[in-house]
Amino acid sequence: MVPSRSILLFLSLVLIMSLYTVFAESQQVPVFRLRYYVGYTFGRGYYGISGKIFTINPSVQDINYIAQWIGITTSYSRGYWIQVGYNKGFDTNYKLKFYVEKKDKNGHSIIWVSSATPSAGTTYTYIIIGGTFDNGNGWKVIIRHGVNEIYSTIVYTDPYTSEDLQAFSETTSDTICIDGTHFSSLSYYTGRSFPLWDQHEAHVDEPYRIQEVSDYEFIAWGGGS
Amino acid sequence: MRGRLILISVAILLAVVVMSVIIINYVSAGKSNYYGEEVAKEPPSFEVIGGVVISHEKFMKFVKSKGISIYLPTKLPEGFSLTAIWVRNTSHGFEFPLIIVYSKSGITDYRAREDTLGIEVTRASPAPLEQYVKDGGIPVYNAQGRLIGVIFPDAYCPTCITQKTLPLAIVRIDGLDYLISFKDPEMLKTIILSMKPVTAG
Repeated sequence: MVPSRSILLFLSLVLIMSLYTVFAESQQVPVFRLRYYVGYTFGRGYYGISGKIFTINPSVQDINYIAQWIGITTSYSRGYWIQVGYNKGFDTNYKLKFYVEKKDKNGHSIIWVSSATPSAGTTYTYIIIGGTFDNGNGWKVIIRHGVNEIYSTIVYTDPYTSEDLQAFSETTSDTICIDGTHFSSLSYYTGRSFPLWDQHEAHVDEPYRIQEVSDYEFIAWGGGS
Repeated sequence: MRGRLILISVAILLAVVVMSVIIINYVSAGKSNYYGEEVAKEPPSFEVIGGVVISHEKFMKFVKSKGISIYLPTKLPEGFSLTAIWVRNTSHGFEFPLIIVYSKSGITDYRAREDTLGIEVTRASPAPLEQYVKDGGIPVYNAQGRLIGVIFPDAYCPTCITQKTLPLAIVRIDGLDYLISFKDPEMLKTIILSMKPVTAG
């Protein structure tokens, strides 16, 4: 009689725990992360983009980050894209790091570049070139310092489409000061050459500010406590 | 009496251990949105960069101005109807992509999700459709036996509400790519094969 009571007690506890688990999972909603953007979209899809980004080194704390990047949106409805840039935040142990990141039908992946590190106060050229690399759906991603190529890789995406080109400073908190932000020489790839952008749409979230120098260059600042 | 106490203690201990494991797993899962792979940089959303809903009349004007034919399904999942047409509004007019949304319950969200049929129209990619077949896409042939698209039944879906994947079809017709999202791959094939041109009139 004694063991059956204990078993009953144990089973009751297991039942309570199972109900708790179901409840907990039903309450689990995706964490909404606030983001602040400053930058340009080109407004047309081309199979390549390049741009120069001056590296700033703001203070970043807690579960925040700053990323400054160029990228290609491959599908707005699916939330697919590819981008390259530099990042500083909780995900890089608060150090500056280059990264290449994408979302496509295969999922989300990020490459943290370990062979080179961005240096604050330095301008790097970031390039994504579409083409028929190996499989016909590859993007060659390059980071250059001056004329020196300091990193390159090939990233494949399915679908291999281009709906827009973008160049943005992205932060998760307005306590991050982006003074000194400077994107320049924004270009699109025609398949043969990289003409400078001849159109743009600017976007800026308060409290940040943008100075639209030209279709292919902008300066941004603001934020911080 | 002693045996009973021991058994009760063991039962409680086991329960505490199992509960702790569940709580740790749950907390870890919640944190993964912040600290794990799920954290991603994210381009601004479509509406932030100018995505707007337009009327059918404006849609037809857009089609006419671009000198293109847009193909839309003539067979829809039961109970579904057209709920929204999204386009990008720029300083130089409307631009691709077009995102056409069908739903049962009036949902107009342009993001791919489990309860809508979404068709995103963009200029055709230089990647051959055969490449998508090599990458695991299920080929879709038209009545003449020509490859017109592929279906990826388990395509990653970061915009979905409860699921991590949602079938995705990539269809190529007359210089345009159609990225079609719908929960049922079989119905998706029926939708693709029923696509007919919408004339600008």
